[in-house]
Amino acid sequence: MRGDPNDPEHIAVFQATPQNVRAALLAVGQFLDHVRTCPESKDDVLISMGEVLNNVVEHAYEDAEGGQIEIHVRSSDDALHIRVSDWGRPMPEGALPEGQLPNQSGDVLSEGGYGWFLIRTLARDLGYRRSGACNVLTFIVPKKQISVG
Amino acid sequence: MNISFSSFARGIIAHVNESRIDAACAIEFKDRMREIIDENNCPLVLDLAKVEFIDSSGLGAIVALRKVLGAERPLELAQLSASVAKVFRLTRLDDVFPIHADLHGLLDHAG
Repeated sequence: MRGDPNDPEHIAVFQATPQNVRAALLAVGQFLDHVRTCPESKDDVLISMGEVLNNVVEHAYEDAEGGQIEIHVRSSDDALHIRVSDWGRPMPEGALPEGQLPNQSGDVLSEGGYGWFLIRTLARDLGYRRSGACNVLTFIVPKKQISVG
Repeated sequence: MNISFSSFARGIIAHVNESRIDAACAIEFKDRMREIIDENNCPLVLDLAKVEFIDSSGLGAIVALRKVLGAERPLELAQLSASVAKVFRLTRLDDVFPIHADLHGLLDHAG
């Protein structure tokens, strides 16, 4: 889908640290409020983007400090279009993890593995490509209500 | 990390006075709560009223606390915001933790 040049968008570039991810998500939240995103879609964007960005910090830049992340969020009539780029390691096997829900019965309760499950559950049209030295991950979150306020 | 505590009839309520339990603070949150768990041998309620956002790191920290408490000591959650409740519901961890809509039921029996 081509972007309408008139669509409102939010772009940020920052160093890959957990603190910067937090600040970046707060700024995305402000943008989503600004374009009158309904609370449910806003939560979906922030939850899914949070997991994507944490994965970049923990995995793509596992061995590297000071790596950059670029985020791009565009608001069209019916969806939020998200792109996250980094210059770290490629995805293992060049593909996105399946993101199955971890086991939760009794003694074997899992402390991890929820991130990709949440991304897969909340994001639509999930795409990944390696472009030169750059990982580009794209997805959309549908707008549950067209606008609020 | 700002966490305050109060007691009720069965145990302790930990009020998480932060807007987020995320990758930037999950380890600190877990360490702080572990101290409380080690010092108090009683059921624990996590009051998440002020927490607007939790990610998988925060979920992992709460699951880790569940394990530290062991089978004999309950870990319950209270006052989940819409976003936090959604994350627990999607991951089906709402089946693992008793969840209270508010604190009234707990405090009414405080005697």
